[in-house]
Amino acid sequence: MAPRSKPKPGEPSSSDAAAPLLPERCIDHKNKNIRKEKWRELRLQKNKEKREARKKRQKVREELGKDAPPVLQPHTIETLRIPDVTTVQPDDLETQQADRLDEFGGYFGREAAPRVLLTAGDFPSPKTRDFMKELALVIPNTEVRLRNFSSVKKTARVAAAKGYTDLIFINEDKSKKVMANGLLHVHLPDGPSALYRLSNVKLSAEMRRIKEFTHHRPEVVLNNFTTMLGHRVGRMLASLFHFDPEFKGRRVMTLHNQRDYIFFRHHRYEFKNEKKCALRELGPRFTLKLRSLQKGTFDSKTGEYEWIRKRHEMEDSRRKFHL
Amino acid sequence: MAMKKLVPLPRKVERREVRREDKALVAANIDKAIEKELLERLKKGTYGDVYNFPQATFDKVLSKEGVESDEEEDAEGEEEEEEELEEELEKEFVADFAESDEEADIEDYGADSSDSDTESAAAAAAARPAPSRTKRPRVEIEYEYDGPSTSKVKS
Repeated sequence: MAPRSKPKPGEPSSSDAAAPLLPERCIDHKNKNIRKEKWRELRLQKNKEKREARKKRQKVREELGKDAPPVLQPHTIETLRIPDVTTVQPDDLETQQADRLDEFGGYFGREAAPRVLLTAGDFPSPKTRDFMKELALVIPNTEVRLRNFSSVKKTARVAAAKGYTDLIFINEDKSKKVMANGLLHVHLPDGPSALYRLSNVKLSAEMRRIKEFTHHRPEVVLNNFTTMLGHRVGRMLASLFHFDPEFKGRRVMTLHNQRDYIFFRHHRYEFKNEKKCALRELGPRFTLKLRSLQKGTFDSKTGEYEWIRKRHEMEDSRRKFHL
Repeated sequence: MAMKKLVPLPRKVERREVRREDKALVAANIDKAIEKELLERLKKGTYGDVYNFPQATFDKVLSKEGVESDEEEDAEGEEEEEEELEEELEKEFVADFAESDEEADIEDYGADSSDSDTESAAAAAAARPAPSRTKRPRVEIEYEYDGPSTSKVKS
């Protein structure tokens, strides 16, 4: 980044005692014309310094060639992200222990194979039904049922009794053209319930690739789930898929988290050589955004929320992400 | 009927979320990320001996003293390794060393791997330093599908 310009002589210089004032703040003149002029001069000076610094860096790079310091990368939201206190470290023993004991420990310890029940609101529209059918193909061991006007809690109880490990509800908004807009994932029997906002659903029927589906068990790739919450959500989503992937099938499900949006993709991969891999997208694609995570099964009134997206508290900064 | 509760969605928020999602999608570069992840897994050997890339596996064989020895680890050791690997920051995969899977695959690919191994041995033995990345003879990789293949994949 360009070095800050020093305050010009004659202007009130930033006080060293308190937090250093931005030099721009020093250009506070009551007369607007003079103020404008000062700002303009300051900007010109800044640009000039930037240009000179850049020229110097280029010169250094030319001279040193290979030994030159690495090229400065432009800032992105990811690089400027406010670091989260709860970021999971790779070798964290505490997380490992917690993982063993939490609701998904059984799954990751290969105790039970996941069985998923997929259902929707009362009268699902054709598009939603298509989406559900595709999801049922994509997530192994899934059954689609129509809900007979029973409540979510009741459905969860019945499903748990019948031996399902996960329950997925697709919510839709009939007033809008785009149908399905919510997804509720309840991990049974007593597991956490995650409510997501569903968007950008693209069906594989539209991509005309549905004939290329096979029944091999897919691999799962989870990208970018860094914080504790993200870690938990990632494990929850991973527990939907069977834990023993069949590599022969070369199917991969990707859940990629970027700026709190989880993108779901389904590909068939093929290694051309050890440096390149070709992907062919099958299957539906959709985006999830976590709205809330509840401890038990879904209970909007008396449930204990682990995490809710409270817009005013959490979204005051554009550089702050939770997953 | 818990889902019957109407939750209002302010229009501005909706618009903002859609825009942000589009930008996040662009920033994500998903295909590249998936490729990278899959290549890492290939390197790490999660696929065992399924893929026969002479250079990579040969190097690995030279350095790790045989991929087979890894697979013969006892189940407990593998579980621990799995859990360690599972805690990796950006890379979590569901079954690293699915032993039974690999063994089944190796049996299937037994014929193939022996062929390519000899090919790779010949290639490497042709007076070229092992990690050389210059031109090497093109090796054909055969994928064997057992039974009537249900998938049509264009390579």
